[in-house]
Amino acid sequence: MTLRSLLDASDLTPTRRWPRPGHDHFWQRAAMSRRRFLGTTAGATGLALGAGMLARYPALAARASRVPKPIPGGTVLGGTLFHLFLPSDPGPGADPSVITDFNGAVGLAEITGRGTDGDGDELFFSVDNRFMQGEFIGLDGRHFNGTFGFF
Amino acid sequence: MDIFTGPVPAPDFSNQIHDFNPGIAPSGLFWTVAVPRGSVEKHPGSGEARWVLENFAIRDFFSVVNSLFGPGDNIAARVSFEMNWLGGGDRVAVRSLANDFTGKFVTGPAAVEWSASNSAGFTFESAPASTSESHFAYVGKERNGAFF
Repeated sequence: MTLRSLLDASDLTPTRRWPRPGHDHFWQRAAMSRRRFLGTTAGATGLALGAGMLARYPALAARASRVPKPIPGGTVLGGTLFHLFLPSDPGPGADPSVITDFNGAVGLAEITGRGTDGDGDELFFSVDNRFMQGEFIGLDGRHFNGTFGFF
Repeated sequence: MDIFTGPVPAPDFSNQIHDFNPGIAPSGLFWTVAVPRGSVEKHPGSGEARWVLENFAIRDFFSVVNSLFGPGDNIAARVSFEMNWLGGGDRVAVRSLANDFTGKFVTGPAAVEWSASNSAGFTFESAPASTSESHFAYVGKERNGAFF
């Protein structure tokens, strides 16, 4: 529901600042940039390292190679292509997997509901979660079996 | 996994206060990470499945707009959930030449009960799964890309 709502959004500019309770020094540590955060992920490893370096460090190459590839298509939101199809009923226009070169089981669910925060205040949630479990071809072209979650 | 102060997203998403996802990889892999194999029990033939994660490390981007379009500030977070797909709905076979995939799926309702916390001290606990509302849900088997 959240992502689907983006299709109709007229103004995608955040209009409020993120809540920032706690000490300033915490936020200095915690609010790392997205680029820095993503640069620490396994996915970044697979792309950032050249083939030559991976050949010299087999253990690193093995770790990086287990990274699956995104589906080539997807959904344009705010003028940018994101490699997923929005949740919908099964159909030819909506591959539920976000991993390509994949052969296995998938589950998709979009669910909404209510809950409470630590102060007992009522909040509302929207969940679009998916699992993918099976064979896939990693970034290095090798075949693996794995289980992945989309949140 | 998104949290709002109102029942539906505001047009500018200004009522969204938390967005728990693992980020977008430089490859473009979208909000997806490896999870323990044993966390998933699935029965694609019947459309039933159960997915349970406990205290799973993730990031809180606070807003889908921040997550997708930046600046991308995020902090450490944890989520726990149990999702159940009940199956029993339509059996749907799909073959898409345009999107290079084929699959057989079984629809049916799904339900979730979950909790979350972040390193800033926020905590959330959903109401029981029986109160959640399923919009789209299915389980199946598929092949795409090189396996299509």
